[in-house]
Amino acid sequence: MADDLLALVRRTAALARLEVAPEEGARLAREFERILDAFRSLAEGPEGARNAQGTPPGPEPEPRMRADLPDPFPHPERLFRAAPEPHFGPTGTLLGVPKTVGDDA
Amino acid sequence: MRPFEDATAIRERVLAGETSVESLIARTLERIARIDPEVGAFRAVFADRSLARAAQLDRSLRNGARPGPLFGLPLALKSNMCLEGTPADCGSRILAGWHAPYTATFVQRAIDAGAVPIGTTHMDEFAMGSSGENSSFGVPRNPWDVARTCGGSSSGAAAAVASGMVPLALGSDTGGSVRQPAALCGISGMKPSYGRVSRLGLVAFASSLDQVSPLARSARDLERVLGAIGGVDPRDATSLPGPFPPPESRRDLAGLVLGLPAPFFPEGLDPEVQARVDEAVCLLEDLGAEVRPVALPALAHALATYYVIATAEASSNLARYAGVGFGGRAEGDGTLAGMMSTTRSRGFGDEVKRRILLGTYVLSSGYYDAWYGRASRVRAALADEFAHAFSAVDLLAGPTSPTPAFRLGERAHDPLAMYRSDILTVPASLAGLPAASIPCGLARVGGAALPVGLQLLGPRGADERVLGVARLFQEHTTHHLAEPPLAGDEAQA
Repeated sequence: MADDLLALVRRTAALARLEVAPEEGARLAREFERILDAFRSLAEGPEGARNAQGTPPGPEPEPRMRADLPDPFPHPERLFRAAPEPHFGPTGTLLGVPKTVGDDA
Repeated sequence: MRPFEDATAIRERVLAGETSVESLIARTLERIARIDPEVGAFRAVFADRSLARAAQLDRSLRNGARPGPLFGLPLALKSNMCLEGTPADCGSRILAGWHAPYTATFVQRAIDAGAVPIGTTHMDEFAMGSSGENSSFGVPRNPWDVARTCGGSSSGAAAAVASGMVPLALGSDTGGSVRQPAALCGISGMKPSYGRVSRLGLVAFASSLDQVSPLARSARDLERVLGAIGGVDPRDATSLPGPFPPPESRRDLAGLVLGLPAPFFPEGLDPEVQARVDEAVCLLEDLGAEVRPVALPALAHALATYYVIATAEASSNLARYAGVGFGGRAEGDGTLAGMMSTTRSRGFGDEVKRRILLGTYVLSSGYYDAWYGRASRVRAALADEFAHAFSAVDLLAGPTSPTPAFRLGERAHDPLAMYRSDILTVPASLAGLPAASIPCGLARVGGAALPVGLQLLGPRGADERVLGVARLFQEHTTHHLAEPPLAGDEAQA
């Protein structure tokens, strides 16, 4: 099995936020290879297939996409700093929401 | 009252005063207690809740209320459907213990029509599977041969109807998850046109494909259920305008052109399946239909297209299960990202993880256009081919499943073999067409007699045409009346 396929599975798993144990990675890489091989017929799909927007076939534009890289998640403390303050009242814990413009009530 | 009567007949008996709803529900609960240990269809049974509801319905009838189309009928729900306060775990560890916070539109409409939700049924995890084996909580067995699969993913729903425990069940059909189990269990099932039934309250797998779909003992029951739960829902932007179309009544098929697409009869088709479907087509011809071959070359790519699109949508839809908003949580390495990864890795089963990975891959940069973009274009071409075919024919017909029910475990470790179980049902899903599966006879496999399903497909929106032909077929055949040999019934006899 090609190492690049195993690397692909690991990279995809990181994007999907899934942990892959070494033996699981090897199995998934084998399965990926079989499934993708079986689905390669898509590349020979019907001629003149229109795109999802229904426009006629033409030269396919180069997709402009960001690189898919797993970002390190911000530290929870940074997120919690932006959270509203809790207020403890007779009906339970409430979250204070800042007044918005025009909210005079 | 016999357990294998259809819902229409049972409702007539209730309204004629031959039985009360309370007595009907009590007998249903007794039958579930006797038969379900053999079949394993139910995830949860709402005994107290359904008896209380039955008493309420009896009172309303005594007080002169007008009975709805599903009055008093026990209804099983797939475990991915929301009924407020009841568990809806989708067959997944990650949602174990999660209770629905509200009631789905289609469930509420069934209740408003008089149905009695009796319990939830086992399913492949998040509706991903064709055998029922991908469940974290239980694998239903086929009532015709308990060593074999019921199909999937609405495995428990099909088993519950096929074994006469309930006359009606609601499943969801994304790529055939109602039609294939209906075929393998010898009952009737229909995926309506995409948008005919609201998806609000159905846990999403692949949103452009998912459809709530009924399972029943007859086509007339399918009409009854769809008429009650279908129609526009302002809270589902994908629902089609207007009510579900009224039933189409036919005395024969004179003037109807029936197309037989060559890809629906591939080389590897089981010969017994081919024979039963050929016999069914001959009968439709005898009833007046003109039969024509139809070329649909894009169908050759339907399976690959379906698995690219469905997994891509699943990878997005299932991103929400991360230990925060829904279900369980694992601690992980103490970081937020670690908690999410560990929760997802422990919570999801193998098939769900496989599909999330596949879907993430086909959407990722560098691969998106070769896979997802290409699949979207092939899907549009396939829909065009169907539209062109329906300019020359009124309906299409073929088998629902390439084989009768296979043995449990036979395909469990071969994902591709399992995916190929859906090869005849995914085309209608991709094009959003209405498609029904109705029993068309039994196949002899070894010593077992196993049901075969005939699939009927119509143009998008022509649900009533599919149902009308299915109903006429059942008025001239008895395949839908066949009863499976259950040990629980034999012991009582």
